[in-house]
Amino acid sequence: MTFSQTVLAVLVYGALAASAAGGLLLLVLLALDVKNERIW
Amino acid sequence: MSEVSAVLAPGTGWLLLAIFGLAWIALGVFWGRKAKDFEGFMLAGRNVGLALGAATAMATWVTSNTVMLAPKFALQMGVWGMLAYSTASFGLFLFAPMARRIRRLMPRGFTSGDFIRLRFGRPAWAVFLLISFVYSMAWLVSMGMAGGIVLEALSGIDYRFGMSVILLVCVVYTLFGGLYAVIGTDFIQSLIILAGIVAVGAVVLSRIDLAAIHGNLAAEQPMLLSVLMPVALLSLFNNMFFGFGEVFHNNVWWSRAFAMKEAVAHKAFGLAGLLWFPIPIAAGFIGLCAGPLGINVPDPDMVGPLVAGQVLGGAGAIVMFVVVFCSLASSIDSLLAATADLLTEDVYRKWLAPASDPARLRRVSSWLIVGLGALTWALCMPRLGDLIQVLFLSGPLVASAIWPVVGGLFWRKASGPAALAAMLAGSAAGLTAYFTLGWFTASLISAAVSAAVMALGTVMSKARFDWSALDESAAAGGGSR
Repeated sequence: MTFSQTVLAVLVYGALAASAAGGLLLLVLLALDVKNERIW
Repeated sequence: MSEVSAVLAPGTGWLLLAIFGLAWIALGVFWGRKAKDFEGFMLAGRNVGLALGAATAMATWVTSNTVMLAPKFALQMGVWGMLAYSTASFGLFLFAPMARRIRRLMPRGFTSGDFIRLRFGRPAWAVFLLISFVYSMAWLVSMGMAGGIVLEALSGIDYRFGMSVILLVCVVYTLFGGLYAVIGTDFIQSLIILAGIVAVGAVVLSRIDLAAIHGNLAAEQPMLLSVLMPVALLSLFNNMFFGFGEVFHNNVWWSRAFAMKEAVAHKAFGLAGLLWFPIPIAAGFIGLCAGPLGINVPDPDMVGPLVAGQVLGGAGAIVMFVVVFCSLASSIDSLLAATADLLTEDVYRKWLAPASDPARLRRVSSWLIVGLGALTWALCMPRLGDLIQVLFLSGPLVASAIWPVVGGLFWRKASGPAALAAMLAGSAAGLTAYFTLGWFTASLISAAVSAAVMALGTVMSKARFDWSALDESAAAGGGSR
């Protein structure tokens, strides 16, 4: 695997994984805010 | 445009518009019941928590441009094109410590204009308001036009109808719900945008190997893989400074800082930056797939929906349609609310009618939301392509406000004349660069000139600003308005 191939793979797979994790993180944070009555 | 419109029937487009439009309005009206007074309507009670705070900052920053232009950047500038777009998230990262300081210095503040007026005086305030209003209108019009164009391209809905419906939906739910409605809908829109982008990206990757994309690029367009592509590198830094200027000055972000709990404001903006950073890459890389998939791209602006529609068929077009609709709504509602706040507080209350009571301010704010929506609609209706250029032209204007805002927040010696001179000199130099050197230099040059003027003015200044002057509630005896 060349350097540019590795960069492309890390960027694309990393971005998709981070976006999915971001959505889940928002849901977890919302659940915590609701539980602790500090949603707004 | 017709290549994608064939994928999604106009009837399906109208159905999606109706479902999501009615849902946003219903939720806006429901959440709007929490806004018992003017401060609740304008700043959601100043008590927004981490989850909603991070989501609203992220969703507002995801515009239709993020979804549509990131694939175009990838198509035209390769790997660095995607990264260039992602650097816009740095504005959110850097605004995080500023948000904390804003909440501390101005516990009862309302707008970014309040800060400039109290910190630098009225001449700098007037220039700042002009820059802010020009930029906000340019952003609103570009979103309205993009909405009409994209919906027409995806589903065949006439530009005028699609644009009008999007604006109408956003005006109605912002009008009824204020910032509560904006922040509540932003959370749901964030989840839809993230899920949609991940779904499209995953399916595209399941259909085409990343090695094939790389192989095609290496053979056909090796510059797109180069880490030293000059235009891409310049656009990376230019985009970054444009983003700094947009976030640092605009009331969209200041109103969120005022609306969040003091303890979470900086965390929410930092998290929003983290959430935002991968989105242009996740949404953009499908632009690189056009070549390997043999897809003809007559209009680079449409490469994202084109690839999604070709690879995923009708389902892909529906997902793109919904993601674009959510991206547009999450930005338009924020701009309507924050710009109406700026005009209500800075122009009406502080300038025209200082004795207004909260009930009257609430009515004025509502009329301004309707008025801004109507003005945006009127400017979008003729579909003048040149109007989009106004958004890019506003880049050097907002970049000139970066250092006055930063200096004003952190440097006791920063003075009003220095801030005024920095904004004027930066804007003039940036606009000159825009027309003589190219768009990808304008914000950079504006920020550099503004920095030099602000630094010089600050070094020469004998002023020592009293930070307590920023807290108007303390000056008024501690009572809130």
